Parts: sequence; C-alpha cells; structure tokens
Amino acid sequence: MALLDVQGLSVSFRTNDGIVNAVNDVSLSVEAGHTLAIVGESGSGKSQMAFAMLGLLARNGYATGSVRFDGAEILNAPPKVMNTIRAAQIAMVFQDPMTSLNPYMRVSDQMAEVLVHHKGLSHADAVQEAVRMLDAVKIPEAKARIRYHPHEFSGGMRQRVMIAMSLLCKPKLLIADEPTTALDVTVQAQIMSLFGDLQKEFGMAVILITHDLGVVAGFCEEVLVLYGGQVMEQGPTDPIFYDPSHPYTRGLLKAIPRVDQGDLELKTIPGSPPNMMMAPKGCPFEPRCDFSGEDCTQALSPLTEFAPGRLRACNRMVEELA
Amino acid sequence: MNVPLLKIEDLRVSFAIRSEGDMPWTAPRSLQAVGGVNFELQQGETLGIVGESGCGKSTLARAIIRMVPSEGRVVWMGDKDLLSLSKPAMMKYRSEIQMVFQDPLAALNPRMTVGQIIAEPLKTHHPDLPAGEVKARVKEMMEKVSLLPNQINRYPHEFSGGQCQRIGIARALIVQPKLVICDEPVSALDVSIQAQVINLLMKLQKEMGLSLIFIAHDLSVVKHISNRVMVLYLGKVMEVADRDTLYAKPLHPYTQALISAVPIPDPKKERSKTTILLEGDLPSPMAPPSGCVFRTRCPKAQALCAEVEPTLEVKDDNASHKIACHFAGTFASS
Repeated sequence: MALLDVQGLSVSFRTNDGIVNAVNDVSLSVEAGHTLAIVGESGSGKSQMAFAMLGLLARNGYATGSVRFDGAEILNAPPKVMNTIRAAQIAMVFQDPMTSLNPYMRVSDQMAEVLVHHKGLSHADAVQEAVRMLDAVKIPEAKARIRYHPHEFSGGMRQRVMIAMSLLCKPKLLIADEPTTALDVTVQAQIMSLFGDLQKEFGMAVILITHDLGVVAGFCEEVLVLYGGQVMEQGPTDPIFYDPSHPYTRGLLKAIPRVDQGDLELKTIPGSPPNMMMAPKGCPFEPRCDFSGEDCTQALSPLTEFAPGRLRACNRMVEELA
Repeated sequence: MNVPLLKIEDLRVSFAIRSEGDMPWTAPRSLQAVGGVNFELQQGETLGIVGESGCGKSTLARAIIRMVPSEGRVVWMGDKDLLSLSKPAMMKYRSEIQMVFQDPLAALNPRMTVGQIIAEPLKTHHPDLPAGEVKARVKEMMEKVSLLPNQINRYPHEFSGGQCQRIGIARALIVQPKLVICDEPVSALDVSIQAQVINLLMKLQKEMGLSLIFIAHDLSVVKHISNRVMVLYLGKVMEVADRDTLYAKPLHPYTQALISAVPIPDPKKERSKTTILLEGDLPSPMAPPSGCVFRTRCPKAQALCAEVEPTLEVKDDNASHKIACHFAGTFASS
C-alpha cells in the first residue's frame, strides 16, 4: 500500500467572480521513502494541491476527491484529526522561511512547541531535542544559536531551521514547497544535498514542489507536470527528461538555458500561462501549443497510460508530435 | 584597439550605516558594497555580472548611472568621466544609458498608461518633439517588443509579468541608448516566459547595436546571453573572462563552486556531477574578512589568503582571463 494515495483531487475557490478551479482531478501516489516532484509554473495549482492535502486551504477554498495517508482518509478531515497528522506524520517546508517562522519567538521556543504539543515532552527536553536536530541540519554552534530570533539567521540558515523544525517528529512524508527558490545557488546546493542525506537517514518520503527542472533532475524519482491545474504528464524522472511525451514538457525543456551546453537557440513557448479566473474549457495549454487543433479547445483527453508507468493527457498521439 | 564604450576604473561604493542604539553623534560605520571594480565594455558587447545576493552587483549597476554616490571613474567613450559631471551635464548621457529592472510590475507607474510610460523618457530627453511623432515612435517601439500597439491606453496591471517586462524594455530603448543595464530582468518570470524575454533582448541588441550589462544570479541565463562574464563576491571581482573560457575552465575556487552548484536539467548528468559544496554563508559586508574576501568559505584557503589580498591578474596565456586568487588553478589539480 502506498504511503500517500491521492485520487481525483480537485481544488476550487469561491470568489466574487464565480468558482475558480485551481486543480482538476489529480491522482498520485507516493511510496514510503520515495521522492516525487510536482513541477509547474506560477498559477499551475501546485501549492494549492499541497495545501488541500494538509487541510490548509484558504477559507473560500474547498477540495473534493480522496487523499489517503497510511490507509486513512484525511481530505477534509476535522481540525482535531489533522492536528495529530500535521507535523507529526506529514510535515511541510515553505518557500519563504522569513514569513513562515514567528519573528517574535526565539527559535528554541518555536521548535520546542512542536515537540511539547505532539510528543508531550517537557520544554527542557524538547529544547534539547531541537538542538540535536539543528546539529543534524548542520547549523554551527546550534546550542547557542537556538536562542536566536529568526531575523538573526541568514536566508540559508533560516531554511535549515525550517527543515529542522519539520523533521522534529520524524514525519513519514515531507512536503517541500519551493524550498530553495529564495536561495542562492551555492546555498541551494547545500540544502538539496542536506535533503538527500536526511531523507536517507530518516527514510521519509518527499514531495518536492518546484519550477526548477534542474533540481528535479537531481533529486526526484517521479515527476508530475502540472499546467493550468491539469496534469500534463506523469511518470519516472528519466523518460520525462530524455523523452518527454507532452508538447508542454517538450517546450519547457527547450526553453531553459543550460550551463552544460553551448549556444543552442532557446525555443520559446509563445503566449503566457492561462488566467485561472477564465480557465479554458479544453486543454489549458491549447493556446500556446504547436500541435493544437479544433478538438483541443473543446475537451482534453483524460490522463492515460501510454507506456508502463507513464501517463499523459493530450489529444495528439506521441507519434504525431514531430 | 577601439575606444571602449565604457571604462570603469576603481569604482567604490560605500554606505554609512547607523545601527540600533547609536547615539546621534556617533560616527556611522561604513559598509563597502563595491570595493574597487575595474572593467571595460566594448560597443555591442554583453557583459554578464554574476554573484550571490549581497555581492554588490546591483549596487555596481546603480553606481554607473549615478543612482548611488560612488568614487572612482566611469569613463564614457574614452573621454568623459560620468562621475565628475554636473547634474545638467549628466542629463545628456542619461539617454545613452538606460536600465531595465527586476520586478517588472513594481518598475512601472500603476497610474500611467503604457503609452505614457513608454513615452516618458522621450518627452524628457526630446521635449520639443510633436505629440504625433511621440505617439508614432511609441507604437513603433511597442511593435518591436511584440506588444500590440492597440494596447497603448491600457494600464500595467492589465498585463502579465512577461508583458510588463516588455514594456520596461520598450521604455529603456525608446531613446535609442548605446548601453542598457539589465538588473535581473528575467528572474521574476516563469520559465516559459524567461526564454521569450531573453530572445527579445538578444534580437533587439543585434538590431540596434546595443551594449548590455546583464546582471543575474542565474548562471545558465548569463551564459546564454553574455560575451564576457564577471564574477563578483562581496563587492570584489573574483574572476573575469570571455564566456566560454569562464564556464569551461574556471580558475577561481569561487567560480568553480558557483558553476558546479548550478542544477542541470538532465537526470544522469545531474546525479553524476561533483558539486563543490561551500561551507556557510556570505560573510557580513560590515566586517569583511581580511586578505581575500572569499577565504572564509574557500576550500583552498591557506595562511597567506588571510594576510594578502590577491590582485586581479592574468594567470595563464589567455590575456583576457583575469583571476583574483593566490592559488588559482583548475579544481582537479588542487
């Protein structure tokens, strides 16, 4: 049985301009100890998907479908149940460590709080445990630094604090939402190598939400490509990079400049991502796609398996995409 | 050799910092954001400036157009030092050097229409141009950056991020500058939009014969667009070389670490490559390390590095490749 099994997850928001469907019918599963990347541009719904799984949607948002964690349904579970799962079983690391740490509290108090709440430790024991965890994420002089407030840390160090905090209860699943986007490349390399080490050490599953295909290539076993709230392509990492089956994935891979290649012309994808307030009826990528036809404006074929373990949603056959 | 379009000599920028609890009469401490940078820029050339946040790359750009006070010399076309000009005399050169900013929406006045925004530099520098002519040129410029001229009366919030950046580029180019300084022009954009803006900049550069100073933290983007690349760390130049040399054979340990840390969107390459992991973070520019500023994180640092600051000099037979390191060399040979 998979650790996390998501079936037909949809997320919508009630707004003054009507219902906005941010995520449509996404299914995925993550085995214990495995890594999955959710790749998409801004507005593709990748973060909202994670929020929905953890019951963190904004008040005007609602989710339908099924999210089973360790066999139990947790989608739309009451707060009382979610409070025993969040942080203890599924932890999350957010993009901006400055806004997700409490600026008024010492790091020691914020971290201890988690353990006091979930494990019933005393404050002193909890702080000791927290120091051990800061050591594990390689914060030098953790014992002294834990007394600091968040603003006294640099960006990379704050993200380490966030990671340490998320690991306190040894969760089975870690959801990292753009964990390195706000960081410099050298610090990004530090953090990603740390993630790799910790994942092996604690044997947890990781869902990495990102727009950076380079980070995905090095870290994840499976990839899910999201565009306009729809899954475009889903499957193991290597074939998605070496033999992408969807026009969007192909376009994306040709549009990124690479440090390991010489003067290749960047192929652009014309236009811009769809405005989800006015989501298109058919395929969300249709206006920007080289292979789109009349049928694509009407409907998008459902996600189907075209090779073992590989799924794609496109009205054209793979062979038609020359 | 031709006269360089721009020659920067020993450019220094310092900020006076008052910390919390200082008395009004205590002298403020000084923070050196840019510490003695020298470079030349030829006509039609693109110089990429890379470095981590806080390394002084944006401050350097701002100092060139005198948005921040600085010392040193900024020589324009071999004769005029821009830093010594009076404000009215500088006005003439302001239309020659234009800037494109990082956050495309924040750089545009939300109360002005696109037409007004793009026309503003033209009206400032050529006040006697008739209104009809201004409008015609604005429309022509909008077409050049692939905006529809019939959108001339719209406001910035009606455009997407990529389109806003096109407006920013149109505004910079309408006065036909010789040099455009782009400060992280694509880092706020989505991957699929980045390529559009990069290609547009390269196309316009060719058409108009522009020189570019392209500042970014993304080494792959800089590699794509630049002829020459300069690596900054804590306000000092670590290494400068033509693009291919710098990426194929970096000789400074910082450049090597920086390039090795860039993720490659190719699973096999990415998993098998060696990343040089640097320890720790950028030191505080308020208290930079003695000697070589990079020594606190450098895998090759030795006692000498703490005592003597290395000068930027040629280390091998390539005269355009300059490195500021006592122990410069390829990574494998260390």
